Amino acid sequence: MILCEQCPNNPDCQNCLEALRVGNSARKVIPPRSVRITLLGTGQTCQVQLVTVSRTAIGLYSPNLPLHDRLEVELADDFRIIGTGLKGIEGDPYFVMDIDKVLRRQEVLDRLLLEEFHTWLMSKELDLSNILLDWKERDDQMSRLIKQELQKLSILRQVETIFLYHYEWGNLRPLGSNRAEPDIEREMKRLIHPTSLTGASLREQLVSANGEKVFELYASPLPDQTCGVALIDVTSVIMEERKRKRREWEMYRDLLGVVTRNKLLLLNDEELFVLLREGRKLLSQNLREPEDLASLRKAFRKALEPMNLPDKRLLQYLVAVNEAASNMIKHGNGGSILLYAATDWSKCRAVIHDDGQGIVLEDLPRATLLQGYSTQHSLGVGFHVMLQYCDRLYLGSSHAGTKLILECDATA
Amino acid sequence: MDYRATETNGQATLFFTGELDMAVGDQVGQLLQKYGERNQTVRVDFQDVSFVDSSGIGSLFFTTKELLALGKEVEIVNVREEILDILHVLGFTQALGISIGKAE
Repeated sequence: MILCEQCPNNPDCQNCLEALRVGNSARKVIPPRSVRITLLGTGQTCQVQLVTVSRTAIGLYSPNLPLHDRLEVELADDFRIIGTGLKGIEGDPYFVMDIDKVLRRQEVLDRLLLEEFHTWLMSKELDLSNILLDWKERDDQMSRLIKQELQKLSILRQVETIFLYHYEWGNLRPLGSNRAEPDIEREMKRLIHPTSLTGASLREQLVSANGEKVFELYASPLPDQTCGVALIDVTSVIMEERKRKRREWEMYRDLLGVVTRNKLLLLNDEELFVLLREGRKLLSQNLREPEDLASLRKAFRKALEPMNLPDKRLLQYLVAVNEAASNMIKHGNGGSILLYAATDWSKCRAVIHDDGQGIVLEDLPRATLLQGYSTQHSLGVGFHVMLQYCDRLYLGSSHAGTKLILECDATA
Repeated sequence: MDYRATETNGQATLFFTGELDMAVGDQVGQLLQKYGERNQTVRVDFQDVSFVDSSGIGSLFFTTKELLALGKEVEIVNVREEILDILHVLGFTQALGISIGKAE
């Protein structure tokens, strides 16, 4: 195959590789492989020789048809790439095609397949002659890989848009016509730059300037200090997840309300805020170790004197508060307990802030339905005691953790 | 929490005084273990116990279970009404199937 005057007599010749303008990542296909191309503008087809490959461009030897148009190259029956042909070497029928898209079975799975193309290209088995001659076998393997990858990436079906880029020396080049808003691209560049230098992969979440869109950014460094970049619009996925959580929360709220005859009430952030604003604070007690529990009970007894609770009732409430406090200490972090009372002393509330490990929504039905030590492995017996000895138990979960509120009426 | 103990003819009585909470839970269990190992019967006297919670009697619960499995006898006696109520709510009595005597 004579591409120019120096080939193949000069194996060191780099002219055809340099024409791809992709740096060191390009390789010669030896021997060249015959592939079918279609000029997308005219529909004309022709057999040409694939002579050079790189991640982003390929070189084609086409003595019979100039390739100055959008074209599709058929690498296998169902594995094609699309791009734009340009003159490669002046005076020779050598053309360079910048890859825009990789297609399989007419589907454009940009990210997946382009990555796969890159993987193929960069794989250790990159003895091009073998790879290209054993294409059928390779193709079957790729089919399997694609299926596996697609299963892993089923989340992508819910994704509105995927933007693909190639980052090289400060330039973010979109692959294909899809691109994100300029403000997002600026932020991407800022984040990707260190990645391209350190070679560590990057996963970040980006929010659009107006706060309406959320993106996941993935950047994978490539061996030549450039980066493959995928930006996925996950706005709808996040909305869906929020809705799902909300539905789950409402289900638990209703279930627990029925089971406990409205003794255990789940509160949303707003309800929790309103509840905490009522009444006045009687005391705030820090808890670090089991020895603090006795002084907590003593302080509660004293603070609640004006409520005139019967002895037994007060003891039961203290047992309940004590259980909540013990749980908090058990989980290792300690914390503080606040006590509020209504201005007319008609009720009081102990507020316990849990860092989130102590109370798991999924455990609550079991803990409320099963008595005693049978619940040892979830919330322990403590939760059952709290429910028995309080008039109401409020549970508010927010990003900051969980708040448990134990309420006691003066006239219960 | 304080305690005292008597032992005669393979029967021990443990008298607990004060509050049985998380701070003393392990100690309560260890005491029952100690006296249970060298006696056939252990009476745990709750006359002067003024407070219990799940952590305070958790160890007592599990030690009692072990002793019962070894064929020993454990009973809890002289329990104040309000403390008995807590033990019921904790499921202590039902789960162990032991005799719990009210205070006179």
